[in-house]
Amino acid sequence: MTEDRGVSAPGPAPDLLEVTVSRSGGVAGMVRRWTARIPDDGSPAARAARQIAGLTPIERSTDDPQHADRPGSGSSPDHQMGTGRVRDAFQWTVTCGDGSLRYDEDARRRDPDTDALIGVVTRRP
Amino acid sequence: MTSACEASAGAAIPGPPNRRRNCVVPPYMLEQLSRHLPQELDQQVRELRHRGIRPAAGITAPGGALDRNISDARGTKELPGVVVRSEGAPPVEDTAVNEAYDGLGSVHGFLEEIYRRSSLDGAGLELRATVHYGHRYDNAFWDGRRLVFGDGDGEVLTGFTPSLSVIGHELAHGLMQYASDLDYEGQSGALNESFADVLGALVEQHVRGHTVEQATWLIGAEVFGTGVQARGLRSMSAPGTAYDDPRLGSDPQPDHMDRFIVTREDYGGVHLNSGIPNRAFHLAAMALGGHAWERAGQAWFDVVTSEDLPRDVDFAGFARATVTAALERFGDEVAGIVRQSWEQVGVLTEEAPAP
Repeated sequence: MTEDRGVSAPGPAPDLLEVTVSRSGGVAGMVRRWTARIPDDGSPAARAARQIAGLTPIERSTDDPQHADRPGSGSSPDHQMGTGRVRDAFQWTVTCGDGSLRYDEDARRRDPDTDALIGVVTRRP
Repeated sequence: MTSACEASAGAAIPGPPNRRRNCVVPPYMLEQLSRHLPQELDQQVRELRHRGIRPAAGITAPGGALDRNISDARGTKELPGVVVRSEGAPPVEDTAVNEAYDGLGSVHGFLEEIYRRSSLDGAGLELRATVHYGHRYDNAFWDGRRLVFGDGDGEVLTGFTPSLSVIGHELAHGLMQYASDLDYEGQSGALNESFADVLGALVEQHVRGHTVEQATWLIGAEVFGTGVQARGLRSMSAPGTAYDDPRLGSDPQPDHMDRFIVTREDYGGVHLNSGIPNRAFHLAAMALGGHAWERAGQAWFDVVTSEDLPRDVDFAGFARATVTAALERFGDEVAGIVRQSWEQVGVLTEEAPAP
């Protein structure tokens, strides 16, 4: 019997992280929500989800996203809301576990991990 | 005098002093027009005007120093993209480019002709737009310097450039940036959104020549795909009734302060609670009759371009300012009607009768 070296034996399946993304604003002003379970596999999306859930510390600047409704964290000041020049931009709220963070389009763009996470969750089937 | 001027369509600059034409359109505008407006189109617009009909959608009304620049992001999110049509250039094959170009012209012409404002900043600012932003990007926005259009997801939303009310809406955000610059959150943000809808509706009504009774009072009626249960993105006459579709849900806009929505999404519900001032504007316009841009629109425009309006003004403060503006422009009767419209949506309370 020969070993097929091109195919490794399957390891244990990674845990799944349930993530909900809510998108509000835009010229239409409609709220849309997506929920997906993503593998906790160390990918950029998984890293972002773990940080939002509070499973790992947030490494990025805390000025960028806003804590939306994280229990115990209180409500952060919304000093960044509406201060930019962009009008009718989307606003994103990403929830995983007990954590929730809110991003405007600029903050999302500046955070590649979160950008990847939102992309994965909102991807069309 | 006007006919003499109109007979000179396409001609440059007045002749000798003894034969100088007295034109409604100043010479510098005529010169600009003769440079930039194709003669055939210019004649078409003048014909319609002569017959008392407003130009149809897609025909750009003559205005002041009009300077447009349309770019194509070609499916990326890189701005500004590649310039594909500049002022005076003929139409291109891409419909979205031409719709954006014509829409910018219609808004510019409206501001110039009705409110005597030269572009967004009052000083002839170049109007820029980018089309085909992103991949299936279902939004249009003002980024502080230009209007940006996605193509929509192709199913529910099929693009924004066909909608003059959306183009007017976005450019109104630009206008406000150079005027009252209302904070984009909470009640002032909802007023920012509401005035954007007001201007979008007014530009569309003006181009179509609609009176308040003829107008649809819908924002974005043209942006939905086939089979979507939607009349528009928003209804100014009946907020909360624009759409009800399994993919979109139902229109959540309130139409009265009793139903004001407290939320932290959408910058404090700026696209939701704008339904309240939108309805107040509609009520005022309907009660005043005629063309909405003439009195209600003028009062709202005066407020938004006033230097006295605080950036964080709330609904009540804005409402009082429109009553004052209506009083100063048109007198007691119009001011009373404007005040009643705000009372009907619960923003102002009815004044107690004098003892």
